Amino acid sequence: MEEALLRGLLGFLEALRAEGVRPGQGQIQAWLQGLLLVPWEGEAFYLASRALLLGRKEDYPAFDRAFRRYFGLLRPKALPHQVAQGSLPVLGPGEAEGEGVLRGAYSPLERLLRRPLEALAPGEALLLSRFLLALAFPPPRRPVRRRRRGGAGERLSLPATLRRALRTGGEVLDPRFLKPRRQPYRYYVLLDVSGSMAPYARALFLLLQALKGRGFPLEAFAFGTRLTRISPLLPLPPGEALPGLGRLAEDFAGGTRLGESLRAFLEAEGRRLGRRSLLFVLSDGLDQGDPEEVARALRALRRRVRRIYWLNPLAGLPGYAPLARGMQAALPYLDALLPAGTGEELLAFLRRLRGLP
Amino acid sequence: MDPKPAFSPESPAAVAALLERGRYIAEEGLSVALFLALRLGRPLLLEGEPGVGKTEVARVLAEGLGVPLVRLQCYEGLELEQALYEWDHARQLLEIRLLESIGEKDPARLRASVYREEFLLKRPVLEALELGEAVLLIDEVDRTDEAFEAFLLEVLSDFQVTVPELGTLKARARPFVLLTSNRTRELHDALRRRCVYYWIDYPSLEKELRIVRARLPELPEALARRVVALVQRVRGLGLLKPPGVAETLDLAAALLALGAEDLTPGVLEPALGALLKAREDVERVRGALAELLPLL
Repeated sequence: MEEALLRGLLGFLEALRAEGVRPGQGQIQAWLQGLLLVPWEGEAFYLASRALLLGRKEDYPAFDRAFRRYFGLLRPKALPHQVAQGSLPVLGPGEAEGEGVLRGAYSPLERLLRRPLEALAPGEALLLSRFLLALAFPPPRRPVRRRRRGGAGERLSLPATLRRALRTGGEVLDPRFLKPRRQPYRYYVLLDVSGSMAPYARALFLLLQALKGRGFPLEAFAFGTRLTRISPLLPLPPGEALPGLGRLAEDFAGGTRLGESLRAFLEAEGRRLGRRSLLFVLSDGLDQGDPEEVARALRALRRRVRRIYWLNPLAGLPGYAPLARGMQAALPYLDALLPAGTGEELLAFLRRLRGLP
Repeated sequence: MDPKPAFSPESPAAVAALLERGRYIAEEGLSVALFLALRLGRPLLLEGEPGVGKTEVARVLAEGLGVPLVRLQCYEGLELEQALYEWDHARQLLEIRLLESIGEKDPARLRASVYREEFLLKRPVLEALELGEAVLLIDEVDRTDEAFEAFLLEVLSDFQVTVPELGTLKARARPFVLLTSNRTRELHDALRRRCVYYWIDYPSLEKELRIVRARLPELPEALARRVVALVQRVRGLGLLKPPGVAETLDLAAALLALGAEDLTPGVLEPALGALLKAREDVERVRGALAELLPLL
């Protein structure tokens, strides 16, 4: 099993122990094996974990609490039925993968990670996001110039030390220090929900939900022909949020106006951006607007944010070259163009988030 | 080397389908747990209120897999011999007589011919180990004592049994072991940790209706629905012995036998005994019928 996956899974055991449930070694081993056996559909991941890690009914509530806390946002019960019974069929194990000889060579987990996001059934997309969330981490915090009191930092705080010394008759018995203050970045995400991106948008949206659920300060916008703030949809259960997103996408069926959307974002949020802001554009770059407009908007945005990343679902395909007009225009202003077409690529992206400068 | 688990279903859905062919409607949680137990070669521990169909799982599973079901019914005072093996002393004595009559006197040879496998009476655990491809149901394990539990633990980890006179008998394939418990006593953690676990709850109304319809297809659907709705409400009354699914089926069958067309107090009263097993409960429900029935 991939190391990061393993780490993410083992993290759940911590959450479980924090709730007072302590599975034995044999149970943990069986769990790791069992997860590779169950097809990741419906509630199977939840049910399998519960069957393998617990030995008494009394632990069910504690397990549910840990599961919710660790895998985030989702009530396990709300998972399969509402979402998986959408319009797309849920694939059976090893079905419709077109992997031919490779079929069965991967665990369901690996297959899920390698399958193109567009081919994921709703239930699977949800499981993937849940799983990525399991690997996710609280937003990294970066030092800022201001400092805060407390602990044994590297700089003495004279005011605090003196105040403390007054209690002991002016004798400095307890020097106080300053510690560097740490804060997370602010994350701005522009999600392309136009026709060509529709198959990916759902999975990417679930990833955003996962990050938000993990405490990322994240503002999200959907765009096609127009720009709409979708941050209020993020905390909703996927069963409620996804139809909302779908309606938006229908409004945008006209196509993509990248440049105008970027411009609208700049106008709406420009003043709030700053050196602690990271901008992520999730789009295939297929644009019906003016490429020059894209370049102009990005040039302006570049001066206002710390980094601009472009996640393109197509970028990981063999032989991909950024030929789409919108993509071409954007390239000079990006810090990186990242693939985002499979679970694996999203995983790599999450790793990168963790290691951001 | 561990013997391999004998059965290997494709997916939880395959397990669910197999159970459904035996007219057992399983929740997803149960089919997932059963699937994992089968695939990982671990015993499955099923707990739940009486009458939710724990034992039935084993029966339907064995039938579906086409393997024998070996059942060890536990009770207080169950001895190892009754679970493992006994020597057939009567036949051993006869054998000795027989050998003496043909002049055999050598004690070593007498001993060897008497302690042979054919004089071994195999009891459920040994029988299941020998069969390998079998479902071993250890029913109501909570009724035995702790010493027996420890013994079970040993068998479940090694899948072998040592008969001092014969040596070690090892399972060729690993039988599938299903343990059930009604929780009259708390099982030891060590045993729990060895197992895949599932708590069978009372089924939801829809689920229970499906079960009744699957078992008693000749019962009109409207009546079936009212019977199930009644039972579901009765379970909420805080009775001494709340009715399980088995009791729902009993009641439904009783109504069918009585030729009932609707659920009225007049029809129900004589049939209540099928549903309730304690006098206090019967009285309690009889008193509440006037309230319960109009709500269904």
